Order: sequence, then structure tokens, then C-alpha cells
Amino acid sequence: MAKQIKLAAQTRAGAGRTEVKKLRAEGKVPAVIYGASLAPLNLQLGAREVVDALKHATGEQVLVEVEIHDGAKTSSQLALIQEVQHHPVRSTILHVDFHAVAADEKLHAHVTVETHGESIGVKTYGGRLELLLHSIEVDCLPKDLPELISIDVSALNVGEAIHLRDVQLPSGVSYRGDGELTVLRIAGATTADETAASEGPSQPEVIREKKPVEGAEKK
Amino acid sequence: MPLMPKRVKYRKTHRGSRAGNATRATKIDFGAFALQTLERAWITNTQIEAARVALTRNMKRKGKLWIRMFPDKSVTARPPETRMGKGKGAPEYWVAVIRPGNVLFELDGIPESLARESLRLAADKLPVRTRFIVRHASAAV
Repeated sequence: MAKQIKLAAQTRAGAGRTEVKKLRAEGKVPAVIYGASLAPLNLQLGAREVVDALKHATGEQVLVEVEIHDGAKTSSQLALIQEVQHHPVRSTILHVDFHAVAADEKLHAHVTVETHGESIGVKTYGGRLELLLHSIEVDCLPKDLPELISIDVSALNVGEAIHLRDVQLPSGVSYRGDGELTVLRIAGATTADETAASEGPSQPEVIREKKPVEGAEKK
Repeated sequence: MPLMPKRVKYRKTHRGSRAGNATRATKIDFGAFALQTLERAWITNTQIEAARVALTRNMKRKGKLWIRMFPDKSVTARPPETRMGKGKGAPEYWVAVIRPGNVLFELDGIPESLARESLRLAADKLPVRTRFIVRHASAAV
């Protein structure tokens, strides 16, 4: 089960670009919490707290206990981090979405896939491990949510693959989607430069509109 | 043969705007390591090809490479010693418009040290400052 992190948040009245810019300048991160049994509520958190919480997590979808301070009132809500928006250049956190979940209701989350062991195909035959699904969509109770899904690849040879239905999931966890989906495979050794641009004409072909047939429109 | 579109609707394009930061292709989507630009530029198809050759040569054809930019914009130039007027010049080369934050190349299936060195060699062929990024890196404060 994933470690549960506690985060303290305050409700905020200001919304919109100007207000959230002011918040970020003060070292705070704007956030929102929503869920099936909860009306959307705008929040603010300490930037340092959020970064520290996510630093030790394997993925960004982690279960957190959000302590909401609304004036004198304080309430606690179990939530899944649904989305974290980052600045494209500075990598700072711009906004966090919390999805409120109930402890006794199944949730839907993306869990990071990790491989362990060195496959025979890679070690002996010079193959290449290709991870096609970096995360798996799962359904489970919050208490069963795994931190990551580890797949043993040591027995895999060149040309072999592991599909979604073959992945060993912890008890109480089930995958979402087509079981035939390939999670990872061992591709053969590269013989030619696969990424080389193919030979082609020196200038692209121009798509021309078809000329109307003469006399077709005239009556 | 450097990258260029196979078919286009119009041979010549306007220069367009390069303002702002990148909003798409800002995260690692396919591989484990990537090269991210910190500046805006028009990267020509020959520069992309030079970077690709440097990358694959250093990787010794191990691992997998994704090129996350495509030169789909034509740049025209006038022949030398030509008087002004007589219309716009002929398409000379193709460029990819990149903005700060765009992921340019992604790699997988190789150790981090080799990826770092290969992407450094590729970055030397590009007209922009870049940085090496890894999947699931922690955010800055």
C-alpha cells in the first residue's frame, strides 16, 4: 500500500490569474479539491510542503490526507492527487488537483510500472527492453492502492512480451482496459539505423485543389 | 536526407509568432531521458539531422530514440545579387519552431551516463541552450 501523506491546506477566496499569481509569489500553490460527494473548493498550500510530499513518491498520483483549514473550522478529507501542473521551464508546481475519495469506495488511479531483474534477451542476445506502458490504470480501495507495480523481466527472451493480463497485481487491485495491451517487450538487437530519415524527394509535393470541370456548373 | 514534410498545402508560410513558452511536448512521454530546450528558435532540418547522427553514433545503435520536433515550416530566401521586388523567394530550407520547455529528443534502453553524454553531443549541434531531464524528476520550489 502506498504511504499516506498529510497536507495542510487553507481555503482561498481569490480565483483567477491575478489572484493565483499573487499566491505563487508568496510561496503558495493554488489547488482545488472536488469529488462525487464534495462541491469544488479552492485551496492554497505551501509550495515547499507539496514539493516535499511529491519528492519521495514514485508517481504523481498519490493518496493524501488533506487537512482543510477554513477560518476556525478544520476538516480532514482523503484525496488522490489527480493532476499536478508544472511550469514548462522552471519546473515549479503551478496548481494541484485533489480528487476526494471515500475510504470504502473503489477509486481509479494510474500506478507507475517498474521493472526488476535483467532479462535473458538483453543480457545474452543483445535485445532491448521496451517499456510501452509507463503506468497502469487500476481500480481498488484507497487502502489497497499500490505505490508502484514491479514486474520481473529476468525470464524474458527476445521477442517475448508481458501483457496487461499477465501482470501480477496485489490482492484487491484490478486493472482497467484491454488485457491484450502490451506493457513491455524485449525487442531484437537493432541491425540498422531505425531512426534514419528515409530517402525521398528534395521538395514536398504540393496538394492542389481539383479544378472544376468546365461547363459543369453552367446551365 | 534531412526531415521535411511529404506533402504540403502551400509551399511558402508566414513567419508566425514564437512568443511565450511551450504548452505542448513539455514532458517526457515515451522514453526515460530527454533533452529540453530553454530558449526559442527555428531549428533547421539539417541541425536536427546533425544532432540525430551525433546521438545514434554515440549510442552505437543501442537504445531507442524519439525525435519530438518536426520541421514543417518552410523558409524562403532570395538568390544572391538579386534586386528587390519580383516576388517572394523560393523555399530554401525547413524549420521546426521551438519554444522554451519543448522536449526535443527522448531516449530509452540505455544507461543514464550514456544518455547524458549522447544528448550533450546532440545539444552541441543545436542553436539553443538545453538541459537534460529524466522521467519522474522532482519539482523545483
